[in-house]
Amino acid sequence: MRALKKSSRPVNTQDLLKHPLLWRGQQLTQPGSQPTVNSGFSRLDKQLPGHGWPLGGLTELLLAHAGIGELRLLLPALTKLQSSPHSTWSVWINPPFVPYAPALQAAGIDPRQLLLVHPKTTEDFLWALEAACKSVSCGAVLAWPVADKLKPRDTRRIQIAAKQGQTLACLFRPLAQRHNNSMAELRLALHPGEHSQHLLVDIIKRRGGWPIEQLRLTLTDATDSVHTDAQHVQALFRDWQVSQQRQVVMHTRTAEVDDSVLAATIEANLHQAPRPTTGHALH
Amino acid sequence: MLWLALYFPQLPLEAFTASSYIAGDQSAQVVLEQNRVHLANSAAMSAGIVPGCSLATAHSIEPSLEHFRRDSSREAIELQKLAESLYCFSSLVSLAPPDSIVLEIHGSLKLYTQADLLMAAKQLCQKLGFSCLTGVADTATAAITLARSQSRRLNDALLSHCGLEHQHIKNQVIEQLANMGLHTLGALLSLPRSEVAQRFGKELGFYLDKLEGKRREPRDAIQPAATFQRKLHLLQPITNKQHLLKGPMAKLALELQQWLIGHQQGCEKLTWRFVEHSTNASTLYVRFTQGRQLQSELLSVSHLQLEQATLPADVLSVELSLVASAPWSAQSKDLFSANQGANNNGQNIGELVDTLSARLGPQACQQIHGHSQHTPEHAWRFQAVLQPTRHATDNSHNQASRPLWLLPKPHPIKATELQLLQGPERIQSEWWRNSDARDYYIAQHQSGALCWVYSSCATFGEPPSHEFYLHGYFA
Repeated sequence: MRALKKSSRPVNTQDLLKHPLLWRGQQLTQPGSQPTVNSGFSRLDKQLPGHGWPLGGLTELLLAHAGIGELRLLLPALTKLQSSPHSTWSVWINPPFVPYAPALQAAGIDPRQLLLVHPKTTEDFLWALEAACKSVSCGAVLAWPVADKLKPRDTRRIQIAAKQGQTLACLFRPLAQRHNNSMAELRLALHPGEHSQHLLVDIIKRRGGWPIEQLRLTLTDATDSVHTDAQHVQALFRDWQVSQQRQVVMHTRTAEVDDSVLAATIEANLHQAPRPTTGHALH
Repeated sequence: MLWLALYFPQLPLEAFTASSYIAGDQSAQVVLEQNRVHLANSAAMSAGIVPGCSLATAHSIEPSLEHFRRDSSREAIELQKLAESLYCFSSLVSLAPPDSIVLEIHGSLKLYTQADLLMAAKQLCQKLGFSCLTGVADTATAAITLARSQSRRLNDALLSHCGLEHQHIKNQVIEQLANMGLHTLGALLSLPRSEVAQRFGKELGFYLDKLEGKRREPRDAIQPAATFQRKLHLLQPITNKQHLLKGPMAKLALELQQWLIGHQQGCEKLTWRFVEHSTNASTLYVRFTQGRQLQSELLSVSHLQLEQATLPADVLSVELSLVASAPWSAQSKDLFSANQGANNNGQNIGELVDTLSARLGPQACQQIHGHSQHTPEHAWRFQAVLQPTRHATDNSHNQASRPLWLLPKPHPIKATELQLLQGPERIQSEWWRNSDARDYYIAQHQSGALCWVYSSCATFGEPPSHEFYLHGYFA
C-alpha cells in the first residue's frame, strides 16, 4: 500500500531528468565531459564529443588513399600531446611509408619522441598496439593495419586498452571497412576536397550525436600551407614545356612520339581550369 | 654496534633443495652424514625418521625417501651467496660458518626500523629458499648464540636462559658443566671468568668474553663478487616453461636483483642459458634500454622471450649471467599524475620498448632522426631507440615544404594523372655520389593525394626525360 501511495505522488519531469543514473546523449558533446585533446580545427571540434579527439578511446580514420591530408588532420593534436608534461611519446605502428624527419620537425613534432614499431604478423600488430595503448608514456598511438582483417573483437580490445592508458589511439583503415562493424568510439571517413587544402570528413559514428556527411575542413587553418599559389608555377611550367617542344622540333623531326604525346597531355592538363571535385572517384 | 644474526638450521638440506626446483610437493628428504641421517625435513620427521638413524631404517619407514649426502663445500657456497644477497641490508656482512651470517645493522636502522629489517631479511631468505632464525644483540657472538638457541625455544629468549648446546662449546665441556649442574649460559656467565677459563680451557673463556663484549672480535666483511654469473643444477629435469619461470629463473633473477642493488647498478643486458647437456643448450639474450633492477621487471621481459624460444626438451641446468650494466639511476614517479588509475600499472617508454622488442625482435622498434643532408634520401636515418643523438639538426625551418611520408624508393607515376601545383625545386645530389639533378614538384594526384614528384632534368647533354617519379605524400 505504501508503495502505491508513493507512486501516486505527482512526478516532476525535471526531477526525473536530474536522476544520477540517467545520462543524456547531449552531455557527451559538452567540453570537459571526457578527456579530449583539441583537434585544432574548430569546425571539427564542434562536432566531436567533448570537443576534441578522444583520449582514452579508439578513433578510426577511413580513407581510400594515403596522402590526402590524414596526418595533417592529426598534426595539431600530436604537437599538443608532445608538449604535455607526461606521456609525450607518440608510437607509430606499421606506418606505410617512411615518416620524413625534416618534415616532422618543420611541423613541430620532435622525431626524438617518436617510436616506430614494425610488427611482422597481424597478431603481433594487435599485441604491440595494445601494449602501446596501455603504456602511460604514450600520448598518441597511430596504427596502420597491413591487410585489414580486424574483427570487431579486436577493435574492442584496442578500445579498452586505449581507455586504460588514456591515449589517443588512431587506426587508419581502408574506406572499404566503412560498412563493417567496429567498436571504435569515433569513426571518420576522409575524402579529398576539391582543393588540396581541403578535406571532407564524414563522421560515421560518434558518441552523443548522429552521423554527419561532408564536413569540409580547411587544413591550412591549423597547419602550415604545403604549397603556394599554383598559377605562377603553372605558367612557368607551360613556358618550359613550350621551349622543350621547340627544342624537340629543332633537334629531330623524328622525335619520339611518346615524348611529344606526353608533352601534349601535360599541356592539356595544365590548361584545364581547376578541376571539379574528385569526390565521385571515391564513392 | 648492533648485530643481526641469521641462523640457517636446515642449511645442509636446503643447500640441495633451494638451488634446484622441486615442484611444490613436500616429499620426505634427509641429509646423510657417514650413512646416518643428519638432518630430516618436516615430512620425514612426521613419518618418524629421527636424526641418527641409519639410511636403511629411514628407507624402511618411508620408501619414497629422497636422500642427499652432506656436502659442506656446497653449504659454504650457498652461505656465501646468501651473504651476498643480504649485502643490500648492511655494508658489513660477515660469515659465521658453518651455518650463520651476521650483519651489523646499527647503521641500517636509519632506513629501516628493526622489526622491518628483520622481516625483510627473513622474507628475502625465504624467497631464496632458505628458512632462517634471527637474533639481535650488541655483540656478534651474542647475536649468533641467540639465533642458534631459538631453534629450541620460542622467540626472544634471554641470553642467560640459552642452553649450552649448538654454541661451539665442545660436547665434553657441556657434559662436564652439566655434571656440575650448569645448564644455561646465565649460570655459566655468573661464575668467575678466570676460574672457568682455567678449568675448561681458554676457548670457553674467550667465548664468554666475546659474548659479553669484553673482548673485541674483529669480523671479516664479505666483498660481493664483481661479476654476476650463476648456475643452478636442477635435481629433476624441467620441461615446462612456466615451471622454469617460477622456479629457477625467479630465484636467479632475485639473486641478480640483490646483486644489482648491492652494486647500485641497473641491468642492461643479460643472458639466460638452458642446458640439457653440454651439446644441447639454448641461450636467450635479453636487452633493456634503460637499466633495470627489480626481479619482476627482469622476469617479465625474459618471459616474453622465453615464450618464443625453443628450449631443450629437458632442462637440467639454468644459468644467468649479467653481460652489461650501467650505474643505477632511479626514476622518480609522478605522485600527482592526471591519470592515477593508469599510473598504477603504467610503464615508462623504456619498459614499453623492452617489452616490444622482446617479443617482436630487436629490429622492430626504431626511431628516425634528421640528418643534415640536402638530398631527401639521405636527410633521415633509422636509429636504435633511446640512443642519445649527437646533435639535433634544426635546419628545417628555412626549407621548402617537405612531405610527411617519404617513399623508401621513388616509383614512376603517370604524368597524366597529376596536376602540378608548385615547383620546380631543383635538388642536385652530390657529384661524388651518382650525381643527378631532380626537379621536384608538388602535385595533386587524380585520387586527391598531394604528392611530391620529381622528374630528372637534363644533365650534360643527355635528353631530358618526361617521366615523373613519386617520392612522397603530403599526408
